[in-house]
Amino acid sequence: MNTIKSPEELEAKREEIIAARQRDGAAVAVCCGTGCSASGAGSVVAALQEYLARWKLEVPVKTRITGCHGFCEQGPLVVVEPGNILYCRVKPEDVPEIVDTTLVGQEVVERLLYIDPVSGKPVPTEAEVPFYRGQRRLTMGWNGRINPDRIEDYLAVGGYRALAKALSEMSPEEVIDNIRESGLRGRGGGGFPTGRKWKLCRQATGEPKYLICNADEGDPGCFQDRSLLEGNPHLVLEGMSIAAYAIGAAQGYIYVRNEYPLAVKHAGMALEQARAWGLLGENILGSSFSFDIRLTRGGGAFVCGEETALISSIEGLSGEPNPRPRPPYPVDKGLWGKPTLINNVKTLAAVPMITERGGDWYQQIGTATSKGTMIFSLTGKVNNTGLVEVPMGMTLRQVIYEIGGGIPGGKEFKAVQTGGPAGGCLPASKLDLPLDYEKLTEAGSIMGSGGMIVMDNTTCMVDVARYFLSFTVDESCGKCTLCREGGRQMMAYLMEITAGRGKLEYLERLRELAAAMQAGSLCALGRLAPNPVLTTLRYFKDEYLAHIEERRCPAGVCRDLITYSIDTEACTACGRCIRNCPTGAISGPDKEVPLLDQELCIRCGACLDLCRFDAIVVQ
Amino acid sequence: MMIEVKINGKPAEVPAGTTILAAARSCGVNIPTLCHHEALEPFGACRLCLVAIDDAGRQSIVAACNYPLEHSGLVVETGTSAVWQARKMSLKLLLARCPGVKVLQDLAREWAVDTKDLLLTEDRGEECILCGRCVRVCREVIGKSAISFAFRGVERRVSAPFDQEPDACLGCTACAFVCPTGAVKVIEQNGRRLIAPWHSNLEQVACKECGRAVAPLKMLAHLRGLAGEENEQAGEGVFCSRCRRLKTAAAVTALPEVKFPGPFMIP
Repeated sequence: MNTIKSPEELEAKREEIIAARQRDGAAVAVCCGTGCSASGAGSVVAALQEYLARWKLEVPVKTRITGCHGFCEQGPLVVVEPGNILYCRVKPEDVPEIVDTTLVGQEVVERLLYIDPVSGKPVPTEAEVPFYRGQRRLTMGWNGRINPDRIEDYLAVGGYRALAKALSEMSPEEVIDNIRESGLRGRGGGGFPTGRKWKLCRQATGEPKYLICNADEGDPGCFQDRSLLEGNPHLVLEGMSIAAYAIGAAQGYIYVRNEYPLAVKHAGMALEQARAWGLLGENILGSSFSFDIRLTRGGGAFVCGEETALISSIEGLSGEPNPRPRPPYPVDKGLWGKPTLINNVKTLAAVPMITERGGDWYQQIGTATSKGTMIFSLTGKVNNTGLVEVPMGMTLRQVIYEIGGGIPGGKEFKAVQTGGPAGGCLPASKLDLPLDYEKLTEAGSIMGSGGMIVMDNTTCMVDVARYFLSFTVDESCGKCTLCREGGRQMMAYLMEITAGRGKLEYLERLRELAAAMQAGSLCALGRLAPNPVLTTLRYFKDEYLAHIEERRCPAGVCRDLITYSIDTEACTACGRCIRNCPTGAISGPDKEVPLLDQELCIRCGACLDLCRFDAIVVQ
Repeated sequence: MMIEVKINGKPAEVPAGTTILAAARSCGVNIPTLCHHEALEPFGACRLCLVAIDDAGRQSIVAACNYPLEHSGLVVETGTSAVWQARKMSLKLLLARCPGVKVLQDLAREWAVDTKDLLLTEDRGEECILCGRCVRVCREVIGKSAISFAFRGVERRVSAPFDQEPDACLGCTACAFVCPTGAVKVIEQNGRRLIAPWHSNLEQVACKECGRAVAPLKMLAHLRGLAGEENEQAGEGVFCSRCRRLKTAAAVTALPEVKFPGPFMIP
């Protein structure tokens, strides 16, 4: 049995593991996060293991499966140690060359290296890739270096040292004061000061107290919480244990989406390991602190990420969530009416490093009111999509252009949506806005859970507002009038405008509905739902006006407002559009510029995507 | 513990835990409500009781019905323009959903609200405003939870499980009694009680005297159970209220005449 009974035993164990790892010599780490797995990382691992088993090398080589590195755009990612050589988009057939050239021959395989799109030169190591260079991967950094299935890997990189420190050297009050000093704020969206929340929960009367880790990540395109739980589950468990110690909880819950099977699996394995090693359970590390964690799977409702709805869901109340009245807040009356602390995965994942390195260290990172780093899901029309962890205060421009590598296809930046479906769309004039809770709110958007969707000039902002609103309307629980009925009416106005039947007065109606929803909805979902509409009205009013007054969609997106035609000069009569038009709207004899029948055309865009000569014109 | 609160400029003192709604009503300030019911836990769904609060400088708009006053110093304003805008919008949206409901029509007349400028105003015959009173009375007072909310968002509605006749329903019609719009329709015919929206269809016990339906057997069994009587007797010896009164009257008339002293006689 590996049960560790004291901080000293933990350190001894760690040294044992590190020594064993050093004997391992070379290692090939394959990212098996969800993104890389989807692009075939599993077969790369299989090919690697098979090749290494067949050709026994002189130096033993370890195959290491790791969590998400964040650079999903370039997956499957393979890192060869020593040297930290980064290979991108690796296929199983590349494996022999990697082993023979890099491990045996000590040379890099140039064709598999990342090519810097600016200089056009290959970049051999992760640290030199611009995508990583601008980041400060304090929380995510371990993901690529450890196997999430192995607690030993986590210990090797210093895992559970912070918990040992808290239990043996700090009182719960000192742990809380340290978090308060760090300036850490809730990373799930609210931005409430974490230390203050912990203090309120510690002071609340009522026993027992509960701790909940909110991993019900639901924003479209967001996968930070997922990547942390999948790639480094022990980091989250350690953060939870420290939080539980601070508030005086003996039972914790991880509320994770059932749609995250790998996160459920890895978190479950981590729980078992932590119990077996004595890092969860009775008298952890020989202290008087006892704590255990249960895994609760969510049923797929977005609103369950809202903390009071989440509590109802854990309590087993009907599948449909019911946001409860507040106050009392969960810190006073939460799960089963007892004081409950709910923190997001990213918040808890920041706790070990703050506890270990000190709140004074953490608060040096970031801006006056927003401290530390934030993980963003950078997606949409940007070259390097993936997870980026940056210090607060970095500007949108730095994230999108320096880390994200700018807009693909030479197109123009149009807007960036931050904070998920309830966030706002910010225009080019806001690109130099620093990422900071207050600054984003002033601009009409939110930090939210860290969603960042980049849009180029082929995006219609009215259509975007309609899309995001349709998401929140669909996910509204329907309990309160303003969110349920107000959202439905707002959708109707947007549908009319995108269909070319809009009237100028609709804009005023949208504002009135939005104002009432913001002021009077029951929970944050309804209060924030109008944000995409309000920000697009504020920054892109001209597009609304074009739809209404000119019956025109400037970006060429809204089907009812555009027509397709064929540029006879550019057309080479290749016939590709004729063959692929689903309705037969494009026709004509061989080797002649075809005709497009507007009656039959459904403006699906198939011809536009397929034409290699830019001969399809959208107006 | 008593705490102090200021409602529309007037100071008041209420026990800690009192809701803003109860505190306001206790000092004569009327706040409109639809989903609120004295016998039920606050719900906060209709958004008609919105009020503006200032809690040590933090201002917000909250539902008065489910906001408990826990500490002194809260300043409540029940009639600011922002409050009225949000309230009127809630009513307008409910009226657009249920144009035919009288309680909404009356309020709309009083507040000068109409749905002319909304897009979706088609009368779909909907009478339910999703206030949840029926669901709550069944759970909180009757203790049966025979009905519940189903689906979410605009699809949300009240329903028996799987939209089938609910086993748990006693046929007590408490749901119809608390419904503010008359959406819960009860039909009594051929010795059965039907509660239309839930598909409840219950056998009624006939009056031993006149044969008229008295109450569902299941409900009587439940009541006898509460009174500690055996269930088997549930349907036995039941009279309708009219026959019971007649019988009592007959029994009283049959009693020997009692002389009352003159000055105390009831006229």
